[in-house]
Amino acid sequence: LVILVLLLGTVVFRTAWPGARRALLFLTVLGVVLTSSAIGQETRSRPSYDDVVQQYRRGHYDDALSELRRFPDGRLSDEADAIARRAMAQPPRLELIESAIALHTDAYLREGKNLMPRGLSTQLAVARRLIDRLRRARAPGPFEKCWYLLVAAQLQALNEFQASEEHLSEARRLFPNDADLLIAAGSGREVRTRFKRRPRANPPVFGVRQLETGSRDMRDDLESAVKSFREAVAIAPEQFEARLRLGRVLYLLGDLDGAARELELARKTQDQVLLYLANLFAARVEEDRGHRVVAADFYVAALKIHAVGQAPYVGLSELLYADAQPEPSKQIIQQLFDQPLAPDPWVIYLSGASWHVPALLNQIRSRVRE
Amino acid sequence: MRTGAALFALMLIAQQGSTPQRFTSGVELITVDVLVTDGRKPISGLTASDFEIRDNDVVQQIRQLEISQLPLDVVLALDVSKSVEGVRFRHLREAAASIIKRLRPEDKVALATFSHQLRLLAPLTSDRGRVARVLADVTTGGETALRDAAFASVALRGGESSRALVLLFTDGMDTASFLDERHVLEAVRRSDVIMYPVAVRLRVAEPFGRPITASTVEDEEFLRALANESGGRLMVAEGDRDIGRAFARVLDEFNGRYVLAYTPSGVGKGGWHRVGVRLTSRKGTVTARRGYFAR
Repeated sequence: LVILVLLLGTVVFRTAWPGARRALLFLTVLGVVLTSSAIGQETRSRPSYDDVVQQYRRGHYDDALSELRRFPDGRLSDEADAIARRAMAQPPRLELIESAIALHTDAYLREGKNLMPRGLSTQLAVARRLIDRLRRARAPGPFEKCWYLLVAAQLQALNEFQASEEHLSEARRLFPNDADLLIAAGSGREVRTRFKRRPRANPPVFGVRQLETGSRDMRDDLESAVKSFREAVAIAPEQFEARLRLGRVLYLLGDLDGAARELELARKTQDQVLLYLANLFAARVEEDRGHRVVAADFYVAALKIHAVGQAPYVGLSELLYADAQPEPSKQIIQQLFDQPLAPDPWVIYLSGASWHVPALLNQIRSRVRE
Repeated sequence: MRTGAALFALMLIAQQGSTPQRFTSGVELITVDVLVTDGRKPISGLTASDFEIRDNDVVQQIRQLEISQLPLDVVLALDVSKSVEGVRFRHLREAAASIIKRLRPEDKVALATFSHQLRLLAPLTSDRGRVARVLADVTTGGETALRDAAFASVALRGGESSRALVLLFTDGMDTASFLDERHVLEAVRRSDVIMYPVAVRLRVAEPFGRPITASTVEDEEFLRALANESGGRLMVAEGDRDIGRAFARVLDEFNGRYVLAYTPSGVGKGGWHRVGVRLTSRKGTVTARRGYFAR
């Protein structure tokens, strides 16, 4: 604004009458003084960066994030570097770096789908910068793993699969035999196959949707997902999410027997959401194997867990239609329309690892909580 | 209990066991809804004697039913996912409202919407005012479950005898369906519903604002298959402002079709019957469903 006023003043100053020149000069100086004063006021009333980090540590997340927004983007890296330097001084206080990482990562999550362009988040860049500092100061541990998982999961929620994969590759170099990271990597590969073409996550600009060109080989993605899930269950045989996803991907690849085996193991879970999904997928597998009664049984089992889920109604109706029973099929669809609107875990499953974002964020927050 | 209907369905399936398919489209009298065009526009003024129908390659004795005497059931299945919001949604709502206005008093209309959630906002009714009021309150948001919506539109049909049109509007690729294409197309094949998918052509740019290189219709292959299997046609709106015209074209074309009927003779009773329709007296492109399942 100041530059604009100065430029305008200069132009008019060269052309206008002497009286007008003096008035313009006065207005320009006044504008500069007022603007500087406003900037000074804003800077004085803003808490220090350290105070914001402390606020976050005390669990005042909304307040801390709201104060953080008052910092100009250009200052954030300097502030983060400064706190990192102080944290490294003797005795080291690495929990300060962890807190700043949590703060900026939380801010990144709140940007959600509104960030333009989505891949270029200052908050994420600052968090990354601090993670690098932390990695230089100590051997990576649970905090670092949780951070990588959280960011990769959020990137999957934003359909930024390539960036998610890059984060997970980096994490897997630090934690080579970790089932959670393998599942997250496989999930990214699995769920991106729902896009026939890979959409750029940016919202439309002037009505023009931006898409990465060309089709992808979905089979490659699915086979890569199978590899990750198999490695995960080899490390942690009781990892039911890996079993569930492995079963679904094998089904998509046409291996019905393999899918049925994995889903049977997945159905041993105590987690009701995983059990619901395992029943759904098992129903699809059994329908394709020609076992319609068994398939219907699985759909009913899914409905008993989650009576307002859309997928079992649609699946059961389709099963009846394929069984040459259009009237009962219609009744089931009408039943679906009578249900109250409720989120179906199936749709959440489709968002890949982003399903775990709330839990991972809670973990990070608890870790830094004073 | 909410799962009551599901358990009932399970019982029905269990009773069926491995008995043969018993899907029927009225085996005594088969009706075939036919569109004839000169490549672009519908050809009018044809009679039953201009057509030949073969059922499993056996020529059938046909008669023509008067379209004006056949009630029409229209299901408007509208994509209201996030990508539709804004100007596109305004044009979509206007287009749907104008279709509702154009229906005859004896016709019925239902309004279904889909994002990742399917909703039946108005079941089949001849109260067009009610449907128009419901349409005014529709909001947008969410992912796109196109295949599930296509199936639900077909399943809603049940066993009625009226002509059934599903006008399925979408602008985006499917990102949330539970059903896959194979199962949905199989259901469409078994149904006598005629599907007219309406899609919007989107301009596609290279990343980061490089010049527009192509235009695309998302999920075009699937939408075309839906139309082909049911004997309908895929209508493409060349932008948001063209949605109203595309909807109008659907109704014009549907009203310009021929309904032919025959009682199958010289063919087996059960299973899939392949139906072939051709013109005997002149040239033209014939579009009709590809067959039916009989008891």
